[in-house]
Amino acid sequence: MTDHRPDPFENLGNTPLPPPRSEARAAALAAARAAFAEAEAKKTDAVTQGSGRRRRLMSITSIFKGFSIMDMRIPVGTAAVALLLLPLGYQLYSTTAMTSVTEAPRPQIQQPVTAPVPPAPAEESMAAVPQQGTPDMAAADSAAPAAPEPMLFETEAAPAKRVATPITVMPAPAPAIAAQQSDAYSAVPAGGMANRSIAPGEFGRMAPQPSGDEFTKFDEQRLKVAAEEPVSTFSIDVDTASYSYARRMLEDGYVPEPDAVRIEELINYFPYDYPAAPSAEVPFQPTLKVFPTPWNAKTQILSIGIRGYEPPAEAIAPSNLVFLIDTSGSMDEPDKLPLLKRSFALLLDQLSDKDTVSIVAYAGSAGVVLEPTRAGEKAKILSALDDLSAGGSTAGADGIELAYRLAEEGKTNGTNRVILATDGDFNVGIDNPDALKQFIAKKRQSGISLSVLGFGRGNLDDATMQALAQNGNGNASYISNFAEAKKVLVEEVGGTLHTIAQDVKIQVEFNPALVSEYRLIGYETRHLEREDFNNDAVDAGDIGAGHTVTALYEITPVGAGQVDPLRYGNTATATGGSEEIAFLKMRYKLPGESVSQLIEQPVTPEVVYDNITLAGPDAQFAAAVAAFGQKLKGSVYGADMTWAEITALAKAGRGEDEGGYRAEFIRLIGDAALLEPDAK
Amino acid sequence: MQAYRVGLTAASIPDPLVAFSEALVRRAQNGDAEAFAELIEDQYDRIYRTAWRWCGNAHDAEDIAQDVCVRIGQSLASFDGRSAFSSWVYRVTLNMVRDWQRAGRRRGAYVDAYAEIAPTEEAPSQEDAATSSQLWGAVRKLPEKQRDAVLLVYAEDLSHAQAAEVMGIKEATVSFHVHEARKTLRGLL
Repeated sequence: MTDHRPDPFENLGNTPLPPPRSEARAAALAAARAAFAEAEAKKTDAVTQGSGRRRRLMSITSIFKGFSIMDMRIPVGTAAVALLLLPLGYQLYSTTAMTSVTEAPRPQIQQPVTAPVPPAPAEESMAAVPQQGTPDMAAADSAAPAAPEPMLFETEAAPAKRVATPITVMPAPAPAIAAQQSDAYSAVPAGGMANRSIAPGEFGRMAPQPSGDEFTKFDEQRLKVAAEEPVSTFSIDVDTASYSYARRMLEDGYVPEPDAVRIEELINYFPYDYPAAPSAEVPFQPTLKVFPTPWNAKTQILSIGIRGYEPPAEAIAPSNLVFLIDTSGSMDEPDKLPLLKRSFALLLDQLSDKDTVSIVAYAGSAGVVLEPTRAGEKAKILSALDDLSAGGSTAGADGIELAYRLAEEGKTNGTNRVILATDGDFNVGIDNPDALKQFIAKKRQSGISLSVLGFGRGNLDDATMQALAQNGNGNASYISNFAEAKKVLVEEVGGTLHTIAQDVKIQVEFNPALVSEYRLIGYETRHLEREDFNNDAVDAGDIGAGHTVTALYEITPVGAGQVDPLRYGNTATATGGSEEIAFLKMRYKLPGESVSQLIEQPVTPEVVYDNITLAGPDAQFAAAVAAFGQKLKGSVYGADMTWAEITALAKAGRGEDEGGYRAEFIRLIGDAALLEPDAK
Repeated sequence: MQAYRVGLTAASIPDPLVAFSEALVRRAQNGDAEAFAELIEDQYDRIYRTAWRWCGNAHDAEDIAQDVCVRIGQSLASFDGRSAFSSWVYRVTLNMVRDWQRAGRRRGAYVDAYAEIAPTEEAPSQEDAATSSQLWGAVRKLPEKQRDAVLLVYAEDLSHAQAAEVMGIKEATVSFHVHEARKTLRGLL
């Protein structure tokens, strides 16, 4: 600056200003509030799909009065593009395995294209107008400014309407979607298809929008013909994260995304009263039952229940637990780190003095908060936990490696486990998800497993959580509140900490002479190939002390099948002269062993019950949970069961319900029924 | 938990006022009318002050401020949080000032402004007032970009980076505009 005088510009800030007159201020504020209210009202209008239709149509006429046709070039173009791109986009979306972070426009999939929209016929005909000759009109309306500021409309109102318009108008994508669905679910058990049309309540369905959580996409288990594919193989699953997540969403007033609902996790959330196994050598025995399907009169459910052996306390080898705790800023919410701290104290009470605990914190960088410490030194552990807030961010190795190193140091002959507690920040030092999975899988072979505890909602990466836990032979649990923490860390701690059988696989062979079709409910993400069953190198789920696992098959007896028999097929199926419905085989490894054991049991007519009530409360309850899951997912199976029927079934199956979990589930059905009402 | 956050992450401590108004913005965007009322009440004085500095006239400033408030009410939903809310408000205000002046409403009425300062504020010395008046007049006659840069940096006391965010240009360009303004005004001051 060559200027030797003081910078004249400096004075600009010092010039005193007259204060605004209070009347002017009040007027401006009132005007702003009015504008805001108006904008809000319009925003609501734009979202409305039901009665908003009529209003939009009326505004078309008013636009024709005031505007020349030339003004509509852009909207017409937009409509044309929308008409072309929307079906194409859907096609692409549904044929790739890409997981969408933002929710797919679900109502579209379920738009009852074939079924007429039940509300007033007048509305129906109004909606039909644009369909016949002038799709342009409707589109023009969507972008048409109804107020003097078109720019604002472009940004807020128009996109919403533009999406809405093609749905009501466009006939094209509908058959494509229908075709796709029937592709994916090539057939439905007898009677299932009849109720494909979806309730009008779908229109009012609250979009499962607000979560930023990610889920692995999967197709629902399809119906299989027993004569063609008599063998069904899968790995057991003791995860329960899906139920806790769905519950939280429903309690907050949202319908969870379909991919977030894994029916087997819903079913396995609840304890069932299966007979316990007698000894550690045969750590579980199957409980088999066949009973009528509540949602389909023509089919039956085959229920396979197992319960892990519960060793006496003195037989339990010491555990070595390393907690890898996410202390990033986002964990600073009441339902995250503070909840974790409180639930941690619960866990400590469950540990014996032989067990060791260590803590590693990671945020941007990682550090050891607590070196391996005897669980008896509660005060030391708890104070380390309390300090977590203040001093976790010491520089050090990458979080996950540090945690595994501590686990190696304190390795015992019992359980060695790293427990990762996070709200979705998997920035644990290894960036590449595949590399991370490999790392965990490698450590698993050296005897250190991994469990994941998910906290909070919003950026929970469920897919990664599942993948990590599955690779680490652990389980993924979602902790939404203190009661849940109590369930996972106290009541199920035995199962979480003390694995009684590893790589548990289930294979069921159906007798085509008695069963024409079958469908496994859930376990989509746990599918195994038939040849994997006897291959001990193939990994599968582990089962802990006292864990119960339930698998349900919907089976169709011969003669009632949905799929026509082949004209040129082998008409005389070999029956084997057996009365067995199916044959169950289970493989497992005792902890630390590499050779698997086999359990076999036929499904005989003795376990068939003519009435679901006779099959006992557990059967009723499991069936109710399955029906709930299917309905919540918008499945093509069992959607015709009403919420009231599901509630009645669940109530009938409530039984003792010591933890109150089943009562809570019944309440949850009520929440879901409010969000997605049944057809009247 | 504040201490913990500071201890664990290198991020700067968020200004509680900024955080508060951002929370208000989010609530308002979700349709909370009360939050919006509170928000706009917080913002009004600053909007008015900015409008006054740019046009130098209390009547215009009041009118512009009211239009800005209405505009914010209408288009709050389109605020995407990519910039700070305060920057967005500045941008809306500056655009409104420009529209207003291009429409030629009450142009040339600056002179009145100085008449209005004197009675309300403690009277500055004769010479100061003259210099100040001359300076403001000169600044307001600068080309738009230069004027905006100078006023944002010196009158509104923003950093060059903040001014750049408001004007939607690079930081270096702000410095350039200020420099150009100095050159333009060198003869006058």
